[in-house]
Amino acid sequence: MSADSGGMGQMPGSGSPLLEVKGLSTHFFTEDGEVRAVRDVSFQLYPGETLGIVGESGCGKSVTALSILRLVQRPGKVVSGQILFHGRDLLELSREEMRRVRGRDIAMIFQDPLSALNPVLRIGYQVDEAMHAHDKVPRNQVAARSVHLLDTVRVPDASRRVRDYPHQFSGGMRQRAMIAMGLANRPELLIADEPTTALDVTVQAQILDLLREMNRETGTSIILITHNLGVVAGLCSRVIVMYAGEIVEEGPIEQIFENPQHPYTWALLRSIPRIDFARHDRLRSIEGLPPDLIALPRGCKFHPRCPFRVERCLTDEPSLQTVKGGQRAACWVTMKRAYEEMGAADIIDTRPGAASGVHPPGFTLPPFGAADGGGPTGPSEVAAP
Amino acid sequence: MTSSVVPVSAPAATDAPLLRVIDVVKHFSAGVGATVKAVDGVSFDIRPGETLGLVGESGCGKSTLGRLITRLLPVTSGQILFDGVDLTALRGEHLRQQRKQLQIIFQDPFASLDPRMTIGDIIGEPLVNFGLAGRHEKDRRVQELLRVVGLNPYFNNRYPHEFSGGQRQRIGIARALALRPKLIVCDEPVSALDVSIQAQIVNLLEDLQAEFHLTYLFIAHDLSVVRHISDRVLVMYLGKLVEIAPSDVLYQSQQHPYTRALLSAIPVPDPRVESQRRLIHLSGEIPSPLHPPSGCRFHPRCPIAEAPGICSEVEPPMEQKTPGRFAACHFSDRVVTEVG
Repeated sequence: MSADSGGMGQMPGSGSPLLEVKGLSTHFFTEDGEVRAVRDVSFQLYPGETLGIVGESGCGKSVTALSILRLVQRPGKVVSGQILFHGRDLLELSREEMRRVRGRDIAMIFQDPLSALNPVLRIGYQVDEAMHAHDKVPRNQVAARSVHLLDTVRVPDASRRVRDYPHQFSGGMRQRAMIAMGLANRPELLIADEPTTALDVTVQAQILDLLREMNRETGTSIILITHNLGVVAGLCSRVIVMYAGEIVEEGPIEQIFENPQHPYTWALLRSIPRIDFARHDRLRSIEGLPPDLIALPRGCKFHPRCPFRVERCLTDEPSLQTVKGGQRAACWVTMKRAYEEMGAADIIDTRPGAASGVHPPGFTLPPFGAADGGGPTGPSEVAAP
Repeated sequence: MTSSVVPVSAPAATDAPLLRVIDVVKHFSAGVGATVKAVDGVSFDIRPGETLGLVGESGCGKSTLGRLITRLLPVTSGQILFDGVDLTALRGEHLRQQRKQLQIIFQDPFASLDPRMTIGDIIGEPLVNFGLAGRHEKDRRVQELLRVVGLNPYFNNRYPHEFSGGQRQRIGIARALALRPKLIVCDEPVSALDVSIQAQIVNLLEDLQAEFHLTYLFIAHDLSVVRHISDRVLVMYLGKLVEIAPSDVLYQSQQHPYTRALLSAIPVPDPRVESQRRLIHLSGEIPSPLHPPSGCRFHPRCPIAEAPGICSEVEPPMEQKTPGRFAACHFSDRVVTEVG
């Protein structure tokens, strides 16, 4: 963990942000309708910070990253907002100016290194190319730096293996080569989109170690995008939780994990088994499915799955409010109230509205244990001989 | 709620194993003179009603083992006794009839359902195949199965693309249940799903086990999920089992250095635990199963190996180290104190 983890409270005040995303919305204009993938997302990243963006498939975390680098492809489009990097709006840059930012000031590494590497070019050539593209590293030093970079990311026997092709590398080594390319021009910001998801757990641990070390030694800021809460807990100092295209909660890592205030964050943390816990009886699942981004529900986007919803959640959309120093949540109820008034500590029934008793007009909650997606319906004839 | 309340470490001496895997080997030919030793002499039992977890990293042979047990692949050598019947010796109709008892759930809920069949036909196909239901009876049974897995029974005329990943996995589970099997091999059943959906499916599998007295072989690379659902856990490395342990003691103490390294690499969703967690670095990468190392296959990466020496020369047998705990390591008593 980086040394700043203790003093995170002061961090946002110190200096000016490296990256400031303001009111970012990115939509996809498909035949079926307008998919509102990212809606009104705002956050700041300070130099040297490690920020995690977590959420499930379709929550908008990857589209947020692609929007920052202006890599959203048609039919997608950034429809509003600003992306200020050192105070300069990246959305205002010409294509050529933007090309110079990518890979030099902001680098990105992807989940699948095999599809991000060119299969017919040698690894060394591809790392060289990243430096030639920007001329930040003197030409006569490029080849030596490629070997040095591969060595730094612990590719064994780097001086020989620069001549290998991607298929000669294992999955973990390819991801290391990607990181080497990302670091080639000493970027100020590295965006890592699910960098370890395709890797085995022992290799994942090595890659995370590498990112942690890189952040500590070169001060490179990191935005880590992942669905894995354990990975965020190990690497990041601050975390943003996204749901259905919006930020639902953000704050310092310890606070979010120990005292989440948004019911989605709370539920997510309780739905995963932990290796260090004695076996518990049953996982607390989140019932239902995330909403359709074309036809979003009214009010809070999580209310159709939330056990703690109140009347207001069905109609009014909550915005991010400070709940504790540096921690903000977009919720009318918040877990503080859910614990105090709705018995959240002992809740077993996690179906929507179960703890608050609030349901839309005309909606009847079936008896607990039936068709909630969590279990079978009582005695059944299926097993009968 | 779940059958997990049964003390898992108690020796189930009275229960005859439902499945006995005896020295099973699977070699794949990889060109002239080369063989991939995907599964290389694996033995274990599964007791009736238990969930046996099987973990290991990519390429360790765990999925191949699952396919051997369900006879989707033939073994190279060894025996697989199911209820005392050797599946490897069965052919034709005898094998087909045995298959009713043994079903499998696959990882990819998109690839494992035929996109041109309705849900009703997918789930009902096994019933028709075995002549267990006419058209009318089939529809009734399919609707029951849909209800059992938490889906709307009237979805039987829909197609797979109309369902989400988690719902498709429920359909795959319903299909596996159709023939009332005794054993279900779950091959990475939740790894393609989002975390909130994973919990729904894990809970469903536990409920179904309690209700229908199912036995599971639960194969996954995610040790946190495996440990949660399993009574005992098998750890596999490069085609061999290295450790067998009750899941509730596995995190506290390990008898094999690989198990210990694997556990040390698992991130915990708790920043305070994470800041204390120490990764046990393994040198190098998993060797090729074309040319597995001599002696103990883990020795080139093992922090406590005596190599050259016993570890590089003698293959350690799988032995009971303490009651209920088995490991294949010459120095299992040194693992907890000296590894990491």
